[in-house]
Amino acid sequence: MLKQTFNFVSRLLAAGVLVAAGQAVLAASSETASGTTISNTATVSYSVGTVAQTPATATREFVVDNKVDFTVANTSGATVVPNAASQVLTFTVTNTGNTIQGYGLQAVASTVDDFDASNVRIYIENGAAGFDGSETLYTAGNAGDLDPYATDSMTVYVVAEIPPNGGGTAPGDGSTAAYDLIAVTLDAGTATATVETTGADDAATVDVVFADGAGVADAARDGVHSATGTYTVASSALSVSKTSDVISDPFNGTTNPKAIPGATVRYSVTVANAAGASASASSVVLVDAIPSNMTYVAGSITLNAATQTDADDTDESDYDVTNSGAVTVNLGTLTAGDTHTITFDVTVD
Amino acid sequence: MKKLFALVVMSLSVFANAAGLKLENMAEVEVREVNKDGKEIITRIQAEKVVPGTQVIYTLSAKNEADQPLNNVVISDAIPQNMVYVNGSALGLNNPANTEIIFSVDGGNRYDKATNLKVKGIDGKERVATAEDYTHIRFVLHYAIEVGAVSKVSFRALLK
Repeated sequence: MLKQTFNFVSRLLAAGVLVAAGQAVLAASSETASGTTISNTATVSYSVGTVAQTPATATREFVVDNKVDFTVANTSGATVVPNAASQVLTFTVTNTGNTIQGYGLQAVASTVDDFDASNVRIYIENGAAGFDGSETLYTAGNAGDLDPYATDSMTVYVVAEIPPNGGGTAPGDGSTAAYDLIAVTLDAGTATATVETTGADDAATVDVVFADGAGVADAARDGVHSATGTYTVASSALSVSKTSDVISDPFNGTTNPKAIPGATVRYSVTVANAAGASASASSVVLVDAIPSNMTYVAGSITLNAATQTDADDTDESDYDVTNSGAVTVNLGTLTAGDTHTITFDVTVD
Repeated sequence: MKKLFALVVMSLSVFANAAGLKLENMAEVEVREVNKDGKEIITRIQAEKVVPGTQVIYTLSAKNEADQPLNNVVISDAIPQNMVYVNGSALGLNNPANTEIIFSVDGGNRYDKATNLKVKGIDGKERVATAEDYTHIRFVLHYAIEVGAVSKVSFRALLK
């Protein structure tokens, strides 16, 4: 009885150790490693008449093949502003097969987006998680071997520059640039693509079977997997509009005035950050040069119907101080939905 | 290299002769193909290209090569390492009504009906054994194999 109790305790302990070991390698594969020989021996006992005979046995073996299975996953995209440098998309490559494999990487611009980033490069995490620029720059070849029974995953960063506002491919608010990270299975320790075994097979050798699923840019069972990461521009959406009205002339006064020399023209400029914009615009400054053949009417600037001085003083506006021959209005920060209206008058020379 | 090859061939030999009864051990996997009519057909091929997650069908054939009927035939097989018995897959192919299928959870020391087998969980409590607990399977033939006849039994196991 005592011995039984002891056995029971030791079994419990063994089970406890197993559980702990299991937790330490939680992500690791539980699949049988390639190259393992699976042997099965059957035994048959029988009698001839009533006389028992020597049992017969029969053994069958096969070798566990290389199940190439892995995933590329995008773990985070990036919210970016125009002209931002070194913006990061984070991916993981995880070996879920039963053999150590290397991986070749490629970042390809998706066609289903709005703009392309520039200077796209790939980094492999080599220390603490999170991109800080100290990671290993990947250019070609094997990005690193992954062991499904040990370190089965690597973190990969796609890093790129976001183009500035303006130009034909301006990354407007809400526009996206998507990149597919494509990983190709390589033989461990090499830059040689792993090839699936075709045709006749040998029970004694390890064959390669592609078991990977389809990614965003690859088919199932091709030894390739891929995922998309997306840069999304969160920007202000500023608009400026300008109208002009003739408000008086020397002959008609204010009744149906015409734009003849001596007439007074009122310009109205509206600056708005769209209601749906993702970001505020800060340090917004309106500069409006007085056209030639026109003369600025002193003291005529208004901002949101409030009269402003022409001097560079405590109010937001000045004339011919900050910018020569121009009206300058310092609008500061415009949050989404903010609209400012500036008016000033000129006379026709 | 040649020597290694010879060794492999030897280890793969599937026949074992004993006085009067020849036992054959066959390991197969199923291959699914779609034929020209669009129907899926399942064929069995010898288990060679086996990756984790695959079911292997073991078929054990006992042939009476003696000159009189063989009695008390009991075929025992250890579930291979890294494999799990597939629940309900054991079959006596020739005389199922008289083929008793029993299992062991202790390395083949004691065999019993599946419902009678118990194991201790990690919480120390006994529970009914499941397919993952089986270490051995045994087919007890409650019939004689006639002269020249072959009796087949089979079961499936999943490669982890």
